Amino acid sequence: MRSVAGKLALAAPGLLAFLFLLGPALKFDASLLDPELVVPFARSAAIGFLSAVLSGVLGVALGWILMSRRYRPGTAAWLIAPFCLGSAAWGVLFYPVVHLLPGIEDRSTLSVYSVLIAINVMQYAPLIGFISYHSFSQVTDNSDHVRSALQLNSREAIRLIYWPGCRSVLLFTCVIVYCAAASESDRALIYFDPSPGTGTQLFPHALGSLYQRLNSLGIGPEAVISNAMIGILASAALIVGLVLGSEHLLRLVLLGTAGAFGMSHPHAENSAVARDGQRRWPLITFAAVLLGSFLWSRSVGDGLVANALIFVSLAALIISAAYIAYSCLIRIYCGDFWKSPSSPRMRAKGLRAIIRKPQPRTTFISTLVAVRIIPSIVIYYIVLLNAVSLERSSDAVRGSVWILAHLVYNAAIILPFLMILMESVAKQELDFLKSSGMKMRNLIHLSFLSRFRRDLVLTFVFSFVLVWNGDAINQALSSTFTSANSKVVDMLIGRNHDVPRVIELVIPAVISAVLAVLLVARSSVTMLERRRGAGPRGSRAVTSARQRAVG
Amino acid sequence: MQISRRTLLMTAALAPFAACGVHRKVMVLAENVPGTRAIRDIAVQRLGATADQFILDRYEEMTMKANTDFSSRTGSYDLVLQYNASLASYVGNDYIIPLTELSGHAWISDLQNTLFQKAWRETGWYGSEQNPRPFGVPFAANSMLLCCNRALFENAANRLRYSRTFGEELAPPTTWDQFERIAQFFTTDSTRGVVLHGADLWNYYEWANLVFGSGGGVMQKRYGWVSDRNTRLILSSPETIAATERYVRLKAYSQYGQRGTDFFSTDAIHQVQLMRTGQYAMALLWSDVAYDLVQAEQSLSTAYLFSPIPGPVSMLAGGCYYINRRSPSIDSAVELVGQLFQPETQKELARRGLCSPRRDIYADEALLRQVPYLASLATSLERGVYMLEAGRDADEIMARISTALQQLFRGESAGDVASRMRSLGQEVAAARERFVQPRDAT
Repeated sequence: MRSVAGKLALAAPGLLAFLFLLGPALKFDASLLDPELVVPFARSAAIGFLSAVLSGVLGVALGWILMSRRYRPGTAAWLIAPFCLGSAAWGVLFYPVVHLLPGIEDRSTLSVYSVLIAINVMQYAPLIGFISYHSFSQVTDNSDHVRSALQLNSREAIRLIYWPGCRSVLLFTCVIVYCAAASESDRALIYFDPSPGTGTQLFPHALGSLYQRLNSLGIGPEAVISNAMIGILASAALIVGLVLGSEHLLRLVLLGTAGAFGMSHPHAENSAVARDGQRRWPLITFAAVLLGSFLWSRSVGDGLVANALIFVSLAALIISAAYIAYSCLIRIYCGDFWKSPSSPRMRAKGLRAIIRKPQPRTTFISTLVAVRIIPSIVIYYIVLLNAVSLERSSDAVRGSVWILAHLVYNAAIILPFLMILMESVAKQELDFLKSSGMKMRNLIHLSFLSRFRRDLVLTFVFSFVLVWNGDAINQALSSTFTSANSKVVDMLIGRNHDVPRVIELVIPAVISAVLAVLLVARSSVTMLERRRGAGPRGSRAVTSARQRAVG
Repeated sequence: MQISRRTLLMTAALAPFAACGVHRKVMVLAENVPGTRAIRDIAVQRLGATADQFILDRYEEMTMKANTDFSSRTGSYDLVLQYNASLASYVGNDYIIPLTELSGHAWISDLQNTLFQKAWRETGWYGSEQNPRPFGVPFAANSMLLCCNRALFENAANRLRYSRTFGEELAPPTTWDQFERIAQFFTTDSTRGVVLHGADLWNYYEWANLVFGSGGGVMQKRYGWVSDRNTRLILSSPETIAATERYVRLKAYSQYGQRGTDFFSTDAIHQVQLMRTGQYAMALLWSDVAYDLVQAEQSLSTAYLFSPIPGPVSMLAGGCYYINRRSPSIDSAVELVGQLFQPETQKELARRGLCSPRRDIYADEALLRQVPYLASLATSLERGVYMLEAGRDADEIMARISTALQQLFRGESAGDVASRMRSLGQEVAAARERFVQPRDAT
């Protein structure tokens, strides 16, 4: 089933199931061909497509240069900074620059498209560069001998070794970029105040207008045609994702994410190297930064940002704890997800076997990935429709729903990394500790928490970054929980204009992005050291840990 | 009785969800603007409400939430503070309760005496032109005011130069000819004549002042919410075309092309920011953002002159408290509105930026001295007429006019305003076909 038709056939049941799940909400009518929707849709699609292609090309080139010139992994880690900054912070940073560009005052199409595409590329190309760098490095590690034995030149090596090894990862990342860029609305809102009259209206804005107009006709959410358009957009993204990703989908998510962030730990013994050298600085620094921001916000403002920091930190803590608990328990009670000591190639084989014979866990992860592919505009409407009925509920309920929504939506990014991380702890070790009568709490602490302390802090930081910069979920629930994104839009261009407050909101995004970079850089360097053979020291650490556990 | 640990855990986990149905407080949904924040604060400080009863959001999100709640019949919001453009759909779909169905509230019967009648009729009533019914109690009565830069208007050199050039005193204009003349006069290397609304929809509101103030309009009717097959479109009338040509000409005296400005993003908030720079002579300002302009550290600024817009008529706009038909707490909601409607509360709200719909508070001289734009607002509301669309077809019409204006500003219609207005008339007529149903004439 390697042909496109075959993949489409594979994708069709999933697509139908998705449409079925949206269910009675989907009522197609003539409005689907309404030029007021079609034109903005074409604009968004074009911007998304060009952004994805340019980001892909530039990103791959960047990754190749970094890899071939043997830059340290710590240097490459800075490439994730633009992504971690989040959409709103990007909007703010370029706000003064955009209006100096020629043609913007008259909203010439070329200027508007160029600005949006350029900023998308600036945000996403480094991320693809980072993923490419790690993918290329992994391929190099595993195929250096092949290349030298066959005496391949660079072009042949790319064609025969690197491209086949990285293709699915990179294409899939481009699909994600396409989805993000095509459903991006806030930046356009900040820069251009999109409208049909200036030719700047994008699909999410047109959809919003249509939603409102149809509501004024009394067409409720159960029959709003915009849902149909949402379904089509989501389905298109799913088709593209499934066709391009198909059987490599899980491989990408599981191997690609972990590889991308430079944190695959082939052996627990080796990972314990880091444990000896680990300092508590990341956690302390992050806590200090949060506390500092909180106090600053309390002192200079009305506590809006301080409250946001508390909410988001708490949510990040709960979300990361849930991911960690899930991945620990899965590791303790379930078998290997794939053979952990194997090479990436072997893991991929294992994954293929898993995909061909689906298990509940793979279905679960696939579902999470599918959720991530759905454009944010879809998520916005789905959350909004449900959020309204929660307004009368207690804070606890609304907070739980907010956290739950983030938990599900961000799982595809964080959970695979943690599962791979936890799987690096040898099953024998866990069986040994369990059979020695160790309590579950102690076992988790000894085998996972103390061992991966820095990675767990990174999990928390990433959770913070994703929740703070969250788009759809935060906007739909923003009256309940202050979200940086919706507030930035409101304060920069809305009726609550307040530029100093905007800066106050952007600072935590910048700090958390820098901290995430530093943690990733440190992990990448540790990984490099491991590759260069620091095993014995790690082995000693685990041996002593075992001794402490038993004795 | 033995309770297992699992039962305890499950109970603890479900407790927050069980609390879901316990709360029966009045929930209020509104746009997050200074006026509604003032309402919330007063309700919290004086009426024992809690801040979490007030859901204040960006306009787009607030409108979507209201529509979703109404159409899905969830009854999450008891009171929705919305502008009159939404009233037609609320009534047409039976989302809200008419005031005539609310008995036992004396203050509602007294509204005839306490409100600006024309403003209330425009924003809170709906039905056929001959037999309308009240559906909402106004929370704000807005209009657009002429705001002039006092320093530029009172500058002796400017006054002398103007009187020599045009043979009349330099003062806030009372006709649209004067308005254009003064805008042109102040357009120099260092100053500009007027801050225009270039942003989507905002330009429509501004344009309506010129068009209706010059005898033109969109439709021939008495109220904005009247819209049936017989309502005649006058978008291509000579008066409308002439006023539109004047409006497009004003771009030359506006912020267009000035450093640090962005014409097509200029909405009411950006307009206030530009006026604050002191480089602009005039603006047609929404009364509900006038407070943002005059707000200063200690007292309200006197750097601006306020007067009704040029021409014989002013705009009527604003919003109402609409009571959700699915609300589980209708009486409590009405009671809350009644408490907020007390004269002293309304005066306090006016001091905090709300344009009160109560006519009697504008007789308070101390209040008028304190808030510099209130006297002009009162005059505007007294002479106000329909200018803004509020029927079921309102969104369609406003969007199309706004688009056409932006296209004219961008020069896409090659300066031929008349032909663009004629084609706009045809577009609007076609778009209305979809919305104008027999039941509109209810």
